[in-house]
Amino acid sequence: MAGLGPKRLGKELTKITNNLPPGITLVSADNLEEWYLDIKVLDQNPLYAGQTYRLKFKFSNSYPIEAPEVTFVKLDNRPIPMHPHIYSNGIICLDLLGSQGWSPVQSVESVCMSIQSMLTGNTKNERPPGDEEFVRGNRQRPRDIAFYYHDNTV
Amino acid sequence: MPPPNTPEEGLVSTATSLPIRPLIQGAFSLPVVDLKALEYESDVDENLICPICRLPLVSPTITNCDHVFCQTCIVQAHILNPVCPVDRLPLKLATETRTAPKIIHNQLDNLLVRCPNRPRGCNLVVTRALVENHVTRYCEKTSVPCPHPACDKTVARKDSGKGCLHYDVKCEYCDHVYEKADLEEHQDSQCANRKKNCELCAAEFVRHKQDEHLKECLEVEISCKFAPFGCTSRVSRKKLDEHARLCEYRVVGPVGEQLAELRAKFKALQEKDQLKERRIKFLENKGFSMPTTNPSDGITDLSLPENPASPDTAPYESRDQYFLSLFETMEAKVERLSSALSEVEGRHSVMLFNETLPIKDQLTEIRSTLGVLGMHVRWLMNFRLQERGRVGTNSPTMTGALTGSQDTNNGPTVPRRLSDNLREHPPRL
Repeated sequence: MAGLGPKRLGKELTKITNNLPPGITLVSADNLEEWYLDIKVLDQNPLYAGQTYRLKFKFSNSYPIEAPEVTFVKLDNRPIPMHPHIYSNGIICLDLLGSQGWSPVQSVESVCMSIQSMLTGNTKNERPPGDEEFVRGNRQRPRDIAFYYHDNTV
Repeated sequence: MPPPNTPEEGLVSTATSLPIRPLIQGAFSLPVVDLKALEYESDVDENLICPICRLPLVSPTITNCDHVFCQTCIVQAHILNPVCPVDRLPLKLATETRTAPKIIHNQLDNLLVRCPNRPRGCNLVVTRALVENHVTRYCEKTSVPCPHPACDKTVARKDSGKGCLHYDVKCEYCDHVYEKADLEEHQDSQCANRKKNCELCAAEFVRHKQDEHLKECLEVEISCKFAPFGCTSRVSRKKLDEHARLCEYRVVGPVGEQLAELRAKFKALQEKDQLKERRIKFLENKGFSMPTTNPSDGITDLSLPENPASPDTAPYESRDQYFLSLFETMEAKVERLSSALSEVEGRHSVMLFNETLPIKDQLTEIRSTLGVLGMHVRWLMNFRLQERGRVGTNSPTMTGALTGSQDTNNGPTVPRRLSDNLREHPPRL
């Protein structure tokens, strides 16, 4: 069933070009491998107010059985949001995106909303512990990193 | 390569005398119709969509936690993570999933799909249950293996009786070389050199733009613009203006337009009227309900001043609000009715009870008197029998017996026992 991924992505694309939840906009989806979306945090959280962040989705051939690779991308006007689960190179530590937490019923839209709410609920203006070291040393794909979910409060 | 279980199918297709057309088989027939690739004629209900592939379910499978997936989808997802994809409960594929209820299968089977050969010209729309049958047996556009034994190409089924068409021929219009099998399609829809003259206006155009030409050809007959008002004549496009000037219905035209306008207005007014009527009814109902809710005076006193005032001064901003209030009064009414009903029911049952009780008493009385009467009759009968016996046979044994039954009350055992029985079980009425 190699044809499942592209077909499903095509369906998702037609859906999200027509309507997306507030605060999420599609930037580009030129092919069915890499999409870019912008997200905003909608409430008045002082950490994120007025900012827009860019998310990069990378889909493997076996999406949606396998999770997409979702990272923040740093551009001039698109910083990496401050969050104790987001490394400064844009890698997001979220169980939803790991192979254990992922479920094929998730979609691009639902992942965006999860990240949005993860930011909304945060109050700590800090990076994860060991951020610098991780950013310097990491060459792995985000999906392969065995995150240790040390903190379930955020 | 043929699927592992095709030998039987091969046999079927060689037996040409079968009443139904043989299944096509060969390299491309592995999944004859990929149900996941089908295009659906209309939007499919959200409940029939697999949450994994977001397509209408194919061989739906239900889990013990009541979530439905395509069989292939849940199997694939399960390999990666042995939980239910929706609620993440642990899931054993072999024991905790089963095929979905029949009703889901039926609903899916009834979905209308387009024949997968639509790009090749088959515009059929059938239910999903029948599409495979259509493609494998009947669709003229299905590719079937070339009838020539040495040729390994495919050909549309409608051409399969013409022998091998896989030789090159030159298009007589544009000098390109095509295979015979593709030539017709090329000439009908692609060849830029194949010209055709319009039968009506003699203008020349490229064959595959025929439809476009028909839309602008001056000679094509179209119906008069007054057709909605009754003109039945059809004139060529170039004479249309001329006809419009002379058409008997041209006088009616403006009137007709006005009529349509008025009709629309009338409809709007009717709707408004209906709304008003409902509102009046609603207000009337409210008037009625006021006295009935009176018993609690304190509450009505409070609500009285604001209730009559509200309907007069722009009471309901939106229609929704109006309907909501309407609904509320209806609800209250229904409640009142149901309570009244239960009260009536209670009263009724008490009445019934009161009526039946004396009847029952009388019945038992009658029964007891009957028992007594029966006893008397039996005693009399007995007496009579004995009397007759004494008169009829004057044998000494009988007299002996008679003396024994001098006092009949505890006399001969047989009749006595009978009456005893009867007293215990009086005849039921």
